[in-house]
Amino acid sequence: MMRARRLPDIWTLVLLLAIAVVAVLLIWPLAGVFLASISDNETGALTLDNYARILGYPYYLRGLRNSLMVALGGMAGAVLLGVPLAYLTTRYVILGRDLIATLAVLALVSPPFIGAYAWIMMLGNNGWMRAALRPLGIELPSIYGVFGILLVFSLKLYPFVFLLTASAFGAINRSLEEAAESLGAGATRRFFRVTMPLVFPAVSSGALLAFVLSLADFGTPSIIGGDFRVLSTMAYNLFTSEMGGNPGLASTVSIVLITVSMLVVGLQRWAVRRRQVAGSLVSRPERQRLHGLRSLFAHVICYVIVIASSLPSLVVIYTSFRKTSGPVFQPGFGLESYRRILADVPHAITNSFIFSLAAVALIVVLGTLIGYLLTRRESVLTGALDGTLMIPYVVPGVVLGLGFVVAFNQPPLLLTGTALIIILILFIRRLPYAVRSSASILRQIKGSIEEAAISLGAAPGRAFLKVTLPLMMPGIVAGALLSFITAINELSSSLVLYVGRTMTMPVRIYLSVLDGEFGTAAALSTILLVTTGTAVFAIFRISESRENAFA
Amino acid sequence: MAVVELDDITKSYGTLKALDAVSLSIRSGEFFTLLGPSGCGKTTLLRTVAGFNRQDSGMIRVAGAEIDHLPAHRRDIGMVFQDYAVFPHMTVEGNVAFGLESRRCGRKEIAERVGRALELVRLTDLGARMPHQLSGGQQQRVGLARAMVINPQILLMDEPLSNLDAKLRIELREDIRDLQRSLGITTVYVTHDQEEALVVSDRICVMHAGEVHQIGTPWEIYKRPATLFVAGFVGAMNLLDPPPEAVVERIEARHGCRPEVVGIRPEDVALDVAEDAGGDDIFIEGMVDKISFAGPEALYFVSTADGATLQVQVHRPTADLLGRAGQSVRLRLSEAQLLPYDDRGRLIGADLS
Repeated sequence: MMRARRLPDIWTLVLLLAIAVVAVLLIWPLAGVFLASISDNETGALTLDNYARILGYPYYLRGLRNSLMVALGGMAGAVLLGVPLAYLTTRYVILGRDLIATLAVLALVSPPFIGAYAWIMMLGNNGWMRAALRPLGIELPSIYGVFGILLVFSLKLYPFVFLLTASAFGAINRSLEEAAESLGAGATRRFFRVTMPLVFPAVSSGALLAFVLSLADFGTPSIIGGDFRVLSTMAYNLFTSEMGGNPGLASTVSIVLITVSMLVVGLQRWAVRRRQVAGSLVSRPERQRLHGLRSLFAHVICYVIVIASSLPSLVVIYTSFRKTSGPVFQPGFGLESYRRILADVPHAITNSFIFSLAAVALIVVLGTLIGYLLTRRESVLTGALDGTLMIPYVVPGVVLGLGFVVAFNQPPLLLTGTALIIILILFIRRLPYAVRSSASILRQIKGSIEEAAISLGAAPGRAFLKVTLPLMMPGIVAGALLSFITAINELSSSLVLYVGRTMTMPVRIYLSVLDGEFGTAAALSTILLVTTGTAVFAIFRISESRENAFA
Repeated sequence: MAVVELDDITKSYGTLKALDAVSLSIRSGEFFTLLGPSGCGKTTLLRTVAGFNRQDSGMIRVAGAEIDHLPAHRRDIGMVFQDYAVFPHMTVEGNVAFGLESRRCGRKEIAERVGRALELVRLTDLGARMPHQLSGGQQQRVGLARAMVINPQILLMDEPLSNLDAKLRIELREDIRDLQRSLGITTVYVTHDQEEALVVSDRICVMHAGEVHQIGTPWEIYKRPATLFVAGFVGAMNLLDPPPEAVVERIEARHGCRPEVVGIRPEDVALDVAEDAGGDDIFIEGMVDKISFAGPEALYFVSTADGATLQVQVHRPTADLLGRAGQSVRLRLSEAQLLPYDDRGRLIGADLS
């Protein structure tokens, strides 16, 4: 006797909703960008002219080369700073490990372009660090140009490599290294033949993040790049140029950017797949105690890295409290900068909070449900959804912003100029964080827990609410805070989509820096820093209490 | 407490037949065990009864009523899980009370029944603890109390002991057995551990590759394995393939057909006995290859002239007997203990016993 198939339940509806959201907010805008890249601006006829121009003009080829250079350089810098820091702090006794980790995380979450602009104040043409050292005959290089970009990227992005690699170093079974030693491998050979291959997946994941974020970053090269143009600044300028933009060419530059990103992501996945390391943790590595000069040397390395990376935040906070008269700094301290932002741009502050919180509310609800779908209702469709949700990781904010302008500038979806369009782009760009976060905590919750509730007579809805959801809560809150941090600091896509009424703090900071209004920029940045720092602190507290509760 | 009837249950995953026309009937109050190696379909069958899987075809009746249309939460079952599945965010009491709350019992009744259930599993003092403060064995006791407190029609247990260490496993299986007896709940128990199945069950259903091979009491399963698979899976067994001619002749004379394979348990082979005890015995000459001494008993590995190796279990071996490695011995096989199987792997004369 055959039975009718199960009726479509609530999760089928969630799946349909998720597909609709991804189609409208992700696929459609990007399809628009792609279409624009192969169309003639005036006639709309299909053409490959734009691609021919990009590959034919030295100007654009140089942009591509510069983009690859800063992405590879930023990645290399992040690895060179992150891996040693991870190795030293996991394998040797370093005083103040918690402080080091905290400073690294703060560097990670501080608004991205703050680094660029704080370094201008230190190493710009009139920067105090250069000025201080000049009488001593030391001429520091100027921050403007490729050197500055690489410095900012390395110091900003190394925490990704550090955090991922540190947990991998800490999870290597000590017996493996001891086995290598017993087989006669010296320290160097052991490190490169056994230890490094085991942490390769973690290092490469961190390096990949550094690469993709360096490639996509708009604020830093735009503020300190000077004549050194990269693809993301080119795309933005082509689109917003006052002498009539060139949306076709901007789109083509965008497609090239996405393509490079995707190629590198694919390359990393391929490289890691061939090195799946089956880990069984029997005995954790122990931290060794260093003595004398070696200990001093290790401490100096660790602290130089984390202090250099937190320097920009400190400079920004300090600057925000300096006395100013208009844009000009005066000796002494004062609150003029804060008074000015409260008088001139209070809506930028409120907008930032309202937009981010609205986006986070949407993200939490849909992210949790999609995370559940991906882990508990696996199918071909959810697999495709999972893959599609990778896209926001590789699409630069400028590019998706362009896509939104193309997709939503005419009825029935006339959204350009509204607050909604900014909320929606924050939502779709940060949704994957919450999905990943809720999916990963669901993988730690055994499926039998929910079945136990059902077997005890709880309907599936009640079982989810009473058992699964409370257990997911720490993951959901952490995902929400992470989304909030990245949403409130978002610059590039907001810059493409904002109008006067929908100005946000990062946009205002960017414009202030371009205008040389360093005082107000510092005050706004400080507000962002404090907000972000509070959210980070909350994440730490949650993960601590979670470890205590369900160990 | 109810009769459970499974009628022609079939379930496929792609081309793999997880359950192939399984029919069986479980008596009211019975401790019924599904036994088999991993992948045999026993867990799939249990989860089908629970309602977590839907069978492709076939029918399940509990107390005479068909339950196929009921979702899992309305089937009135209690389930105990391999990984305990204790709710980590609730106290022990909260866990045990969960099913009663779903059934909208009154507060006073809940407190009373939870107290009694915790007493039964000997966790009375730990009611306010969180699960992470309990050992694995204690967590499974919570799982047990939680499933029994709702007084379900059927109690389902999915390898409840396999995550525990050996000593605890034996202790808890006795407890499970005693509780089930005293409460009289119809119980379906899944395990791959044949010894555990023999100890706890009223009846055992041995499964292999989605099919039922034998249903019977532990005695029947052990003494008269209905198929070659059951013979090899439950307990230790010498399978003579091909059997010695002397054995074949004796069985042919009795049953009128030639066996393909003949089984005999190590404890049913006698070592080095000169005299013929009855008229039914068969003698085989062999050579002792190896002796494994294990305290109360020793296992002899003896190879015969036609190339077969037999294991012989000797109780309370003497020092003299243990010095026989490398020497020739005489084995005595009692005809009554021989298990002859036909070319389809079925026990010859099974219907006679």
